[in-house]
Amino acid sequence: MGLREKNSADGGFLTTTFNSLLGWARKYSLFHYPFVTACCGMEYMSTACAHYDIDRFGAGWTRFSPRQSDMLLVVGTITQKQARIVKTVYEQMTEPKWVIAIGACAVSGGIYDNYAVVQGLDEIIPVDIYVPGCPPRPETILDALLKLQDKVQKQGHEWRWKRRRP
Amino acid sequence: MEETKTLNDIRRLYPDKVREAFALFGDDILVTDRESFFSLVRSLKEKPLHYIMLLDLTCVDYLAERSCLEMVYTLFSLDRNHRLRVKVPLPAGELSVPSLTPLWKNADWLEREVFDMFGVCFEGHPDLRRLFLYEGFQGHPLRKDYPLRKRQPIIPRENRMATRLQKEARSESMLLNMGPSHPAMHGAVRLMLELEGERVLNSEIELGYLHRGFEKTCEQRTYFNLLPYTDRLNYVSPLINNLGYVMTVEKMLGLKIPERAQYIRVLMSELSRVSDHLTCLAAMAMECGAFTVFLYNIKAREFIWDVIEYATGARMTTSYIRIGGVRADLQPGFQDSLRKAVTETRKVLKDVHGLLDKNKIFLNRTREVGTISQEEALSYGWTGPCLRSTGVYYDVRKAHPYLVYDRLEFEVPLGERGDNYDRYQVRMSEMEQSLRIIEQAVRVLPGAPPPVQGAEMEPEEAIRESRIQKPSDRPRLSPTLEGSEKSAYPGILADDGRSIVPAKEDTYTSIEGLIRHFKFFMAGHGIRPPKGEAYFSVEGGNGELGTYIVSDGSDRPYRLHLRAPCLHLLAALESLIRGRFVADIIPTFGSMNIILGELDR
Repeated sequence: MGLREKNSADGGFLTTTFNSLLGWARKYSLFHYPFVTACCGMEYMSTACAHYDIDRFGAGWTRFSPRQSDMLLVVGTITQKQARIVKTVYEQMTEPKWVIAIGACAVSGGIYDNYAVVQGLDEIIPVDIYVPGCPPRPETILDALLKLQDKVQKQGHEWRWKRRRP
Repeated sequence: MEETKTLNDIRRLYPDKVREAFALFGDDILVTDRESFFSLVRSLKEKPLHYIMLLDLTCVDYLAERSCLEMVYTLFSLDRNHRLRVKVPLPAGELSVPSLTPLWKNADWLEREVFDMFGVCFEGHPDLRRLFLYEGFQGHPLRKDYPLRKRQPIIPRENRMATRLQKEARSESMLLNMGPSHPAMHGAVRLMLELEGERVLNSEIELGYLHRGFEKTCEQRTYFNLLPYTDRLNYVSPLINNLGYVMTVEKMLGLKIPERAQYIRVLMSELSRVSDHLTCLAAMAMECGAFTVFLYNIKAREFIWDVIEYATGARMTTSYIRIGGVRADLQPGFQDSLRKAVTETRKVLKDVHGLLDKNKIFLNRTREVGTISQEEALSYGWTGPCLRSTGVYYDVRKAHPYLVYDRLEFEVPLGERGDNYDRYQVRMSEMEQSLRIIEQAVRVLPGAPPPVQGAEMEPEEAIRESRIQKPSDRPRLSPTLEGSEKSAYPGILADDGRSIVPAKEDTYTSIEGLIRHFKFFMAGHGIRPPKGEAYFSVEGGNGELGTYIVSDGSDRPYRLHLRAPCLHLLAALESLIRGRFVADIIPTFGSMNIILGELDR
């Protein structure tokens, strides 16, 4: 295949075209895993339902298995006890994967600065998009999704045949 | 402190067991000692007094002042419609008290909570370990000597599969983990099952995945500041949480709330109740496979939240109900948006009745599943729609009317069998009743004070003018303060300068107003209820939502405890699913409406 020779030169015509094609395909078929723990979950429900309808943006498919999802929505407070579990869920997801931290608690611990609460999801796992608000309105969550789609579109994608075996 | 009749009766019946008996803020309190405590409570539970329910159980730390912890038990007698608080001081060094598990079933979890948070030992408790925090956590966070922000390292690997369950499980049965991250576990509850094929032999619930230290945090916040934390307890009906907390403080302060504010509060509570029930049934139906019901219910909830947003400015976490009244008056046009929401909700309810009432799949999964008897429900401390589904007539709005509920006409729907289907039906009829209350309340809502006419000026201009003379025009307020102008105050807030936020017009334009504003918000001033303790409860979405506050006379609560109705409901789950199929867990769990924010606190 000609691609094999080309891939060393990052930014060759075929590579970039294929990258943007892949990004375009990926950004409109994000399967999400809602890791819903607290109040923001109510707004997540609103976002997913008829009034706001997250499906309009190609992320309507909720998967409750980390193996089948590529976008992790962490919705709500992460406590010290919960931390290990969210990490496990993240580790179980297959590449490529993205994380959105929804709500003040997931972003920074929010109003709960105490012995029980982790001060921000990024202490545990990497986060792509932070959504402020306590809780964020559905429009904010949709906006975060659009921002993530933008990121997915622009990001250089790892192709399977690009990876070198050690 | 005077003695009431009930206290007199108890003192006469058990003269040697009661150390003190007095009434405080209208609550009846008994003080006893550790030796006679168990026998006293046991006889209180029997007739003639018949305190059949253990409503609540908590502890207060007085180690620094009196070198003792104090156990606080709240008992309730359905026959006498009377709440009684029994207190037992435990001297430092001997922090143990007889367990109440032989008398009440909910004592099991409540005592574990106290053990977790305070380190009190309960003699005779079958399985005393932490309830919310994890093994390996050092110390007891609700003790006064535990710093609020002392975080402990995250336990690297959690491999404890149900300490008790694993010990007791038979070697040939299968252990299955459900949750904490499971679509049907509403947030994060961990349910561990011992299975034989599809049948549940035994189960164990682990809580605390959303323990956010609410009670500890409240001790460090002023009475005014901590209101937003109450929003986030039962996050499906935040306004009722606001109300429960605020009314406890008002009970201690003895405030008199204007009638208009009371009606607004009723409106808001009932709207929240409808949204609470809608969400609960939406989730329950979805988990049973009826996704349409989920979409319909959330649609109706959106309309209700629109009304709430119209009045309060926020969809969920509103902090709208304030000490002394409400934050802002209703805006013109509120009635139209309310009418629309009521019509839409009625339509949805009719559709849902049509979809579920005689739906064979739904009936098979809910009829005669998760059945609980009246005695057992009372023993678990159940309240609210779940208790009423067993046929017990107990609704806080009827039993201890607050606000203007005694002036409004509504019925309390009852079930017969106490199964999942009855819980569904009770919730559905309760929504009808709530809509009825809303319509009545809007009809008789006392009029707002007439808005003040005349010119407005920019705030800076008003401030400049106030330096030389009293400004002739009113300062223009920020749009976010719409509805809380000074002219609206008589309708929505109590007439008490010390416990309500001073009007912004005064703060901007007069030195007295500015001083009042500073005194309200400055640490050490502000709202300071008198020394003492009070318990007050309102009918929340899930049942009796009680707040217990101990005040030491300062501007922060010495101790604030929430009686979460969910905790008592969930405590019964283990016995409800024993011997049933795995599939039965889903509707049983769903029909209880477990809200983790309130349960784990």
